[in-house]
Order: sequence, then C-alpha cells, then structure tokens
Amino acid sequence: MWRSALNRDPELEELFASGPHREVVELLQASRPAQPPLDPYFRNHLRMKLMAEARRSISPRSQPRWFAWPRTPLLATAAAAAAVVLTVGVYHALHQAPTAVAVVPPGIGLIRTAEPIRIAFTGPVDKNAVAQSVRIEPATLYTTRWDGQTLVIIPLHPLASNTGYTVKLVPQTAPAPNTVAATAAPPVVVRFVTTPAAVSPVVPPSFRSDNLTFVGEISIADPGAVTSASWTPDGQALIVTRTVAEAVTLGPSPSAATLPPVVPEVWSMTPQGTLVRRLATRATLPAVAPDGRHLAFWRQDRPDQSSLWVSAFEDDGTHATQIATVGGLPNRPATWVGSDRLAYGDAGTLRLVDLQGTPPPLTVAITPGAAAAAINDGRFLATATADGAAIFDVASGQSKVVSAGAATTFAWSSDGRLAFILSAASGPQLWVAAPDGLKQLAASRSGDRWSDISWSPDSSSLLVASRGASTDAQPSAFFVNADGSGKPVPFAAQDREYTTPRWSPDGGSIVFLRGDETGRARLWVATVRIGELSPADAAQLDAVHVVTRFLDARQRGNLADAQAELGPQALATYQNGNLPLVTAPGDPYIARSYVFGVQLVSPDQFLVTVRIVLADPKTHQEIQFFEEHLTVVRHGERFLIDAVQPGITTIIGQGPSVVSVQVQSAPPHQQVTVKFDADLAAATVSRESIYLRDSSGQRTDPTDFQFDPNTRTVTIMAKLHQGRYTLVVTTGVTDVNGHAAAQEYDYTVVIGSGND
Amino acid sequence: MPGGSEDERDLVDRAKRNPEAFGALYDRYFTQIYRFAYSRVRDQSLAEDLTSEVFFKALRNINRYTYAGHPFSSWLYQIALNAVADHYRGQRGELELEDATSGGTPSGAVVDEVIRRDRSRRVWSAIDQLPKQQRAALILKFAEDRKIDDIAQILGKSSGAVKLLLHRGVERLRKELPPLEGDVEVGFEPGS
Repeated sequence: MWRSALNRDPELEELFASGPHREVVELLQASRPAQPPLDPYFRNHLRMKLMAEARRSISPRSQPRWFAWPRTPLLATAAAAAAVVLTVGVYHALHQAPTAVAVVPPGIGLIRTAEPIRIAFTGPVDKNAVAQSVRIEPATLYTTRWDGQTLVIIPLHPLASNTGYTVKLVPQTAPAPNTVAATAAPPVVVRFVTTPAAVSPVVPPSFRSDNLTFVGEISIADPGAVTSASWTPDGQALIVTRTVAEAVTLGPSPSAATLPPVVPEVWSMTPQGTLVRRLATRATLPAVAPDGRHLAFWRQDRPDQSSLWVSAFEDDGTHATQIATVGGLPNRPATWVGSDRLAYGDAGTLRLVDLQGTPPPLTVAITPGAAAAAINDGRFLATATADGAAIFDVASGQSKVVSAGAATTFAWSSDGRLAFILSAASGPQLWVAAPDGLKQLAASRSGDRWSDISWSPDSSSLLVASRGASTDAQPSAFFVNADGSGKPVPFAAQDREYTTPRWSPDGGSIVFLRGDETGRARLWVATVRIGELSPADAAQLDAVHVVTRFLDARQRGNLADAQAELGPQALATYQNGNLPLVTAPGDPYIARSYVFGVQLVSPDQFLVTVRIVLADPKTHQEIQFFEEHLTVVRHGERFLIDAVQPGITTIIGQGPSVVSVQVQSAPPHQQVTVKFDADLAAATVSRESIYLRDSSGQRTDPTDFQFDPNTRTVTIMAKLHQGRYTLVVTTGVTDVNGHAAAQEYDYTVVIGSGND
Repeated sequence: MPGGSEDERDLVDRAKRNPEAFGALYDRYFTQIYRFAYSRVRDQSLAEDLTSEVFFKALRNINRYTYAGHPFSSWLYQIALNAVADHYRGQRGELELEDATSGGTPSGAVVDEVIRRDRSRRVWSAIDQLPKQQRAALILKFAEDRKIDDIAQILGKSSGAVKLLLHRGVERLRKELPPLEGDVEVGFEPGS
C-alpha cells in the first residue's frame, strides 16, 4: 500500500530497484519524522537577536553622489503616543497554582500604545520560565525584564492603535520537582484595547510662528532624575540620560560602606514620563540613528579618556560595540551621518567612523569642541572650521564655506536647508543657508546667547533656545519663521526657563529642562497648538462628529438616534435589511467602533470608513469586525450620512490586520499610508503583496513604496487621477510568526476634486 | 538541476550588505534548518540551540558564501551538519523515537498499525546507528527531500559517492530490520 510513495522520487526509484531495498525505502518515506514541535516565540526571539547582530555587523552603504543640494523630501508625520502604566494581573505563585486576581476586564479602559505591560507576582517565580511563556496577539515583538516580582513586557515598537490585544502566559513544560509551580499553572489571559488614533488633518498643518500657541506644560520626571532628553526619530518616545546609584560589592566592613557612586544610564521614556527600557549603562550623550535602529553613546573610561559605543536599539547596551576613543569627555553626542556612520570631535578634528569602527577616509579640521550636524540622508555634514561655517560632501570630501565667522550650532531641515547660529560681536545671529542663497533670520543686539535650534516638521519655522545677557537671566525660547518673515514669537512665558528645548517630530510637543528652587533640573514637556483649523479640516471634524454620534447610537442600540444621522438613501439601505443598524439580543454585539479612514471627496463631501467590532455575548471576547463606507455630505448647516456601502468582514485572530488607511495629497502624488496591527515579516511586504489598482482592475505602479517595521506602516506614493482605486493587501503578507490573513483586504481609495 | 533561483541569489547578495535581507533569508530557511536540527537530535531545546548556532554562523560568514550552483540552503545544511557533529563530539545523544514518527495513514487492523509503527521506530532508530555520512545522507534524502546533487554539495562528496552512501545505508537498514512475520518461513517437522 506504500508503493506510491517511492514513485514520487525518480532518484530513489532508480537507486533502489530490488524488492528488499524498496521495502526499507518505502518504510522510511511513509514514516518520516513528524513535524517537530516548534515554539513560534523561539523563532521570533532568534530573529530579534540575529537582526540586532546583523544591524551591528552589516552596515548598509548609501551610494555616494556628487556634491549637490538635495531635492525636497516629503514631509513625514508621526503621531505622539499617549501613556499609562498597565498593571494587568497579580499571581500567587509560591508552591501553589498561580491565580490571576486583578486582570483588567475587556472593555474597561483604553490602554495607550507606548506603554510596557506589567504583570505583578505575589511571590518568587521561575522568572525565565515565566518570561518565556509570554504570548501576544496580534503578533508583537517584545522584550522582557523584571522589576522585582513584576514582569515587564516591553513591545519593541509601540502597539497599534484601535486594536484588541491578547497577552497570555502559557506554560510550556511541567515544573521540575521542588520548583515553584508558576509554569505549570493554567494560562493567564489578559485582553485589552489600545487607544484610538487621532484622525489626521486633511490639510497638513502650518508651523509658521504666528500659527503656534503654547497650551501648557507638565513635569514628567523628579528633580535631578534626568539630565538630558531628546526625541526618537518617530516621536513615540524620549531618550533620556539619568543617573542611578551603581551596585557595589561591600567590603569586609559593611558599616564602613559609603554611598554608592552614581553612574549615568541611557533609557527610553514615554512622553508622559514612564521609564520604558534601559538602553545602556555607564553611558551618556546618547544619539539615536535616523532610522531608529542604533544608539550611539559615550562612556568615560578614565578621567582623561572616553570611548564611543554603538548598540542595536533593541539591545540593553550589553552587546554594544566600541568604535572610537578620544581624550577627555566629549561635550556633545556623536553626530549620525546617515544611519551607518558617526562623526565625532577629537580635539581639533572631526572624524568619521562606521559601525564596525572603521574610519572612512575623511577627517575635517574643525574649531575644537565645534558642533556638527548631518543632513537626513547623511550626504552632507555641517560644522565650524577656521574659515567659518562649512558644509562637507561626505563622499568626496569637497567643502563649501557658507559663512565666515564663528558658528556654534547647526540644524538641517527636512527639506535640506541648514540653519546655524553665528556669534557676532554684536550678539548671536540666526542664519539659514539654502541652495539659492543665505538669509539672516534674526539677530540679537542685547548680547543674549542662542543655542539648540529645532526645525518644525514642515521646515517653515525654527525653535531657538535663548539666554539673556546677564548671568542670572533665565533661559527661554522663541519661534522664528524660516523665510525671515514676521518677528520672532516668544514661546510661552519669557520669565520661565526653557533649557535645551527639543521640538517633537510631529510638532505638537517640546521637551525641555528647567531648574527648580534647589538648583536641580526637572524634565518638562510643553504642548503646542498648531493654529486655527483650515475650512477643510473644520468640515472634516464636523463630518467625523456626525459619524461618531451615529456609531455611538448603534453601540447603545438606540435606533432612533442612529437614524437621525442618516439621509434618505442611507436610511433606505439600512431599512431594506441588507445592513443591520443595531444588533439583536443574543447576537454578537457591538463592542466598539471607530473611524478607520477619512477621505476628502470635495469640500462638502467625505468618504468615511468605519470599523465595527463585534463581541461574543457569552464570553465578551471580540470575535469579528466589519467595515462600512459612509458618504457624508453637507446639507445646509449640517452633515448627513447620505449613502452607505458595506465593506469587508473579518474574523479576528487570523493573521495581521490593517488598522488604518490614510490618503493624503502630496502633489503631484497621492500618499497612501497603511498601518497594520501586527509586526510583519519584512520579506512578505512588497509592491506585489500590497498595491493599488484602478477602476479597470489594472495595477498602478507606485513611484515609491516604503515599509517601516517600527511603526508597522506601509507608505505608497503614486500618481493617482480623479476617480476610484482599490488598495489591495494580499494574503501574501504575513506576521512575524508566519501567519497570513485569512482573506485579501480591499479598501476603496477615492481621489476627488478635494485632493487636487 | 542547478539549485538556487535568481531571486534567492539576489537575496543572498543583498544580505551581505543589508540586515533586512538577511532577515528575509532567515524567514525563508528557518523552518528547514530547525526541522533538520530536530531530526538529528530529537530535542526541542537542543534543536533551538543548534538552529541559533547555524544562523549566527551564517551571519558571521555570509560574506564568504559564494554561489556555486546549489541553493543557499545547502550551505546552511552544511553548517547545521557541522554543528550537530560538534555537539555529538564526545557525547552521544539519546534519541527517543517513540513519538517522533508520524507515519503514513494506512487503515487496517490495529495489529498492522502496531507492527508498522514498530518497524518505523526501528528503521529510524537504526538510521542513528549508521556511520555518520550514511546517516546524514539518509536524513537529507528521506527527511528533507533533498536532491542527490544538493546532498553531495552539502556533504562535500560526488553524486556517485552519495548514491553509494544511500545504497549502503539502506542495505544496512534492511539487514537491521527484522523480517516481517509473513516473510519468515517456519518449518514443521512432520508428525511433531
């Protein structure tokens, strides 16, 4: 009966013709080993470790280009993350089966996306076994650490918005005799939903100085706890330096022990002040690579020597590589030149080094202690030389002096202009150099000192830190337009201190230090409001408000309120029975719903896609979601839902899902941004697996296709004409566990007159 | 047939310069290598260690890999084979095959199934008693479905030598395997 097995392999058939041999061969073929047991989290864990090592050992190289000014890159936006610490459960785990006693129930509270997940235990547990038993759905890469008896699960990237997550502790093996029973306990399951994402504005906001308003500020760290802070490139977190007491081994006479020495450490922190993860120990002056994958920092080896280190951002610094050594302690972080090289000052020389510590053949004689800044793609480097402020082509070494004089601070805009501060005899001057010339934006006649320039996300303005001429003058800050128009606008109150202000990548927050009455610095975050709404954004808010009321009424089961938001056509669609407005008792109920995407069709018309999540009435677990495409049209003073088209229906828990689609005009292109809930296998994300097709079914060639695994975001740039397109996400896209979605995902993209 | 598609060769080339491409290689070959490691040691934890070792070695040496007509996976198998050999150097692994065979799905009497499972267990156990090269060749052929040319490349032998290894291995298994009852002729003395 097994003869057919042999016939499948001609090589074997040829080799083993005789009867006795065939019997053995057939037995081997028919009884081959079963698929081995495989822990998908081992697969993920190994991948993470490999990628960290690969990023350390393999350095991608950009192709050198001839000295030329860059073209304007497109504006990238990033949403600020919110934060709340989640304590999800408490375990009894000492010689008895652990019991979850404080699990956050589903539907109560929304969990912010940038937070670690904490599970507290009441007693000692097998920490390795417990940490290895963590399972997260949708597939999420994470690391763990222990704070005492609390397991802290740290997603490598902020969680997706509007997403239901399941975190399980799944025992893998029976406990060894005489060990605690934690790993043999029944699985603990925690479910929670993350906060909604803000609806993106139709018209990109302007950050011109007269459009910016100080809203308020909060302190996010205790005095003295943090000594420096900067934003990660995606704006989701802060990178801070803090000092901690170093663990010391006491000598033979513990009573003689003195206070342990303090050492600096580099941590990531949420913008709300929650410490997330230690990135490096005995480290200071951190700098994150533009692609967010590596962290560079300095360590002081001896009083007269420091070394430059680099580590994978996922790492905790224990696998860092030393790449350079200098005398003394540098006064500023190393400068990333692209994401694969670093520049650092070494006395009167600016040196370049790659991530393996190999110095490329470029050294620049600089003013000792001079600042440096590299353009986004790393092609140009600006610094202060004896001849003045100069720009270097990193590939060729060719240089161009843009201004004579002593330049102190440099910052490149996202569109490739260089801002710098000149120390003139009359006071500091702020200049911007561009391919078409040099312009002075501001000058102080009062002897103030200026420093710390930050560009706005749209490169329309700058934030400049200032300190008065007198020794006791408070540092402050001001905005100034990059085109030189208008006057500098003070940021907040000028009698308050704003030291080393850093503008967040999304432009909505500014992190800074301020000394308190004891002289110690506190870390603060200020919120900035970006001007008045454009008419299109105001209309969008009105339209979304109508949809939100409609969804709320449906969730409450209030038919009359839901119908009040409908025009006649949409009302007929729901009433003819094709689409239910509310669910019947005993059926899966609407657990939550949200606006999935908003598209501007015309100034008075929007296509709003909503996602409605259903839960099982018995278990209250989210089991399914469906989408509806609502055409929302202005009728006189208000918007009504004029038409409705049913969208996709999906069972939850079957591979990665799209959580939002955003369509924005970026003339002459359209930008379609697709966010996923799961960490994706990068090899499966391509122009073939995610694409746009037009109304005739033809694929549209994108002009650009980018995948950012950190934000689980695919960005497609394409020249789209007025009309309807379909975004297609095929089942070829898999999560990091190798799971594909059960079905293809389609989303209607409307390019209307409002997009032109 | 020469192994390794252009797509694969391009991916390997990119992996020498681009960490993400190496990640794609990992995604592509993890299952095969893990399965191979497990088939050799029959221990999940040990298979994980060996798989980890294989990919880290591949990462460290990928610049030394050059395409020579065989799939990239053959190179990974070579590393895996060496890792397994290193592991067993001076230590003999205990292979428990009781639950490790899936078998075909022949229907029939329970006793037939018991006999078949018993013979499956014996034949796979017997493989592990074979000389190293024969064992590797049989596992690559029967557990991993590799072409003889690929196996030759992995083992550093000619195709003819691999055929010989397979033939000798199967012959030895045949001798190790007890004959089926139906194959045994039992003589009775008349009148006894």
